[in-house]
Amino acid sequence: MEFHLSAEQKMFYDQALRFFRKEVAPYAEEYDDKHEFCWPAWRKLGEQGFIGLHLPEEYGGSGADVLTTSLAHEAAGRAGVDGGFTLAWGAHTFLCMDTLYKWGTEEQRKRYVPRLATGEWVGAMGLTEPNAGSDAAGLETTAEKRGDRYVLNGTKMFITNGPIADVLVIYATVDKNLKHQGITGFIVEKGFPGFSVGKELNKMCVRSSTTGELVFDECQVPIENRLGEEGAGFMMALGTVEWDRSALLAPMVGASEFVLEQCVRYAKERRQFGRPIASFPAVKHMLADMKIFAEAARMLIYRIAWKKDQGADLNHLEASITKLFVSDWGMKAADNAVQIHGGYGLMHEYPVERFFRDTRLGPIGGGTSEIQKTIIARMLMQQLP
Amino acid sequence: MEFAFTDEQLELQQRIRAFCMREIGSKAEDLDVAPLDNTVEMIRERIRSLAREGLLGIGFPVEVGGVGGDLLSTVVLHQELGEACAATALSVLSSVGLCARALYAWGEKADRDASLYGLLRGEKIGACGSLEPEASLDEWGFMTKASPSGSGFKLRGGKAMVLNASVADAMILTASVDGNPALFWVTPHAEGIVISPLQTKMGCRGVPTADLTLRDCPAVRLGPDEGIGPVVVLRSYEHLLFGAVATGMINAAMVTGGVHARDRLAGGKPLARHQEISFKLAEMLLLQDTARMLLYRSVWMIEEKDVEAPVLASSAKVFASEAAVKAANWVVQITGQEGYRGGSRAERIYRDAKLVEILGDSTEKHRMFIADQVLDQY
Repeated sequence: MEFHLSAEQKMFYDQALRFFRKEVAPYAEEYDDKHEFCWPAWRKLGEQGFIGLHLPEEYGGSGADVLTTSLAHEAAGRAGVDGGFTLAWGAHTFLCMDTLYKWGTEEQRKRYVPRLATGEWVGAMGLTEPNAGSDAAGLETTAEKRGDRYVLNGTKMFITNGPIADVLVIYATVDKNLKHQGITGFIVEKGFPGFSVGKELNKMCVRSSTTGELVFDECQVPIENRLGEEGAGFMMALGTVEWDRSALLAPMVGASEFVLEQCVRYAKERRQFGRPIASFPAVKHMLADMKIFAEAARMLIYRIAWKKDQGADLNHLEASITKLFVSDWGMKAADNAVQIHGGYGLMHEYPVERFFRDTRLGPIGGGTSEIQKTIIARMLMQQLP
Repeated sequence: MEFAFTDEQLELQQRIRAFCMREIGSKAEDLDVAPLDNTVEMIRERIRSLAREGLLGIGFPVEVGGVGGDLLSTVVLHQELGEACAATALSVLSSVGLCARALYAWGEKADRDASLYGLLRGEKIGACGSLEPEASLDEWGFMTKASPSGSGFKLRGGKAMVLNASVADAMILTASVDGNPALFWVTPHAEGIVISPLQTKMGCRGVPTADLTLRDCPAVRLGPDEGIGPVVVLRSYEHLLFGAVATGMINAAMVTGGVHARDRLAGGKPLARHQEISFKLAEMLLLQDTARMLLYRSVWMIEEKDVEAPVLASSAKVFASEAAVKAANWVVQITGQEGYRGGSRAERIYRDAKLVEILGDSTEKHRMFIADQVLDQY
């Protein structure tokens, strides 16, 4: 067992960190405030090749391994980029573009992937519905085959990048009776007749990622825009999980370090009772817990990335443990960060306030903590003596 | 990067696990309920049996009496022992994990070899004492003082709850020399060392513990007095191995709770199919897995002599020991009235687990140390 990063990986991380500090992090507060997607930063990401990192060069990517890809996302967090931006980037990359690359036909790949890899187009993925969240197999959006097209009807909810997306991977059922085996993936472009974005949602957290409701009213999808076979959609959605639990969570490792640094600096400067609050055991204990969290989260996330690089099958147990740990224990770290800052921690201009809000997405988004526990418990029972 | 065990490590782990379950775990209750005086011989027997099986000397080269293997193997041994029988695990930790480790690393070859060989072959038992009656939160503030005497040193002061003290043939103690931490090797039968009667304890009852009073006890100093001192290095081992024992305890709690939940019904379905129970089990597996990852990272950093190794070892210790206490609490809750009864596995785990939050430096002290490093870092 050894946990070295290669010299190339280290160098890449340092470069990425410099880039995010200089070109992206300075926008964080403004766009979180405005509740808008940060186009200027997005364009720079595209120019620098950060968006399609893990894809082959012929599709506009750089052919990076999963760990290196995760390091880019970690560096964004470390630089102080807000959770909204990293979420928008992650959802675009792993939930939409990667699924298209993995399951698309050559024609589909050629049409979509290079445009997504450069950031010219923005991607989104639609699975969740007003009445289907954790119970994803119970989704109600229907796809009916009529001649050379499918007709989609239904509503999607809480869709990251929905309001700005040019292309969306949408999951709908061709036959509700088949449950998850009826779920099918479709590639929807924003101009398709019958597709519209409902109201943009006003969120507590990850505010610079736009979130919307999607409406499909007799939406016309050409048959060549079906992704994979009928009934293969549930598998595709599950296939995003390992990205979801590595690169998509990686900003949290970097952000924990970023916030820990903020807390250390604050605790050294802030004086009460004639001494820096950093000298009080209660404050030090909180700093220690944040450090322990950051180190543990790093190991869990690198493990998923490393396994994916080895070409191993997705280990659902490790994926769920990682998601649960980073989400639930991350809340405690965020809480400590605010507590150390006291009244200032509640103030909008301090990054810890934003970190606290952004972190709250964790136990809900991409599979709730309750779902992770359900999966972990089920798998534990299978491995008992 | 490499997260997987080698085939060799896997095979060794399975061998350790099988033996620990068969020979150590099956007798854990006997040791727990034995009269205090009997525990001394019972512990000796367990340590001898580990040696006969070729497991005690894991992590030490063959030339000094070991059986080879790396630090990771030592950690695996402590994990498996921690799961099978916490008392035996702590006895091995003190004798081999710390005492033999210190002699091997810093002893003068000529005088260390006889003791080391005996410790690794299970013929002798070692102890390692660091905790003091008036524990100081000041990291290196040992109340026990060492002063030069002839070619060696003399120690004055005392140590509290020293694992194996009553059975030890060799002992490693910490003390301060002019305010600096240093490590000493003493003979338990030497003049000037008073070992208290055996102590009764809430848990880990089978590991014989006693307090020491040191009145000009002759001692040999181990290791260099410059650079990273032996106390710092040995402490990383200590924290790591306590973390390993704690991780084994989490597994014991999880498996005990899991099997109970699978086999018992409530409201017509297995307990395990009630979220109130299954979610606790899920949390236990999360704790076990995460603790393991922190341990393995610490092992690697210690072997790499990474400057952050002590912080990671402390982190692993804090995380694993608190996780063990949480898991122990849950296993009693899951097993309910059955688990609360004397003689149940859950009840023993519950009593045992608490010790690892206290010994091997308290979690409070570890947090202060981790925070100090973090404050220096930024």
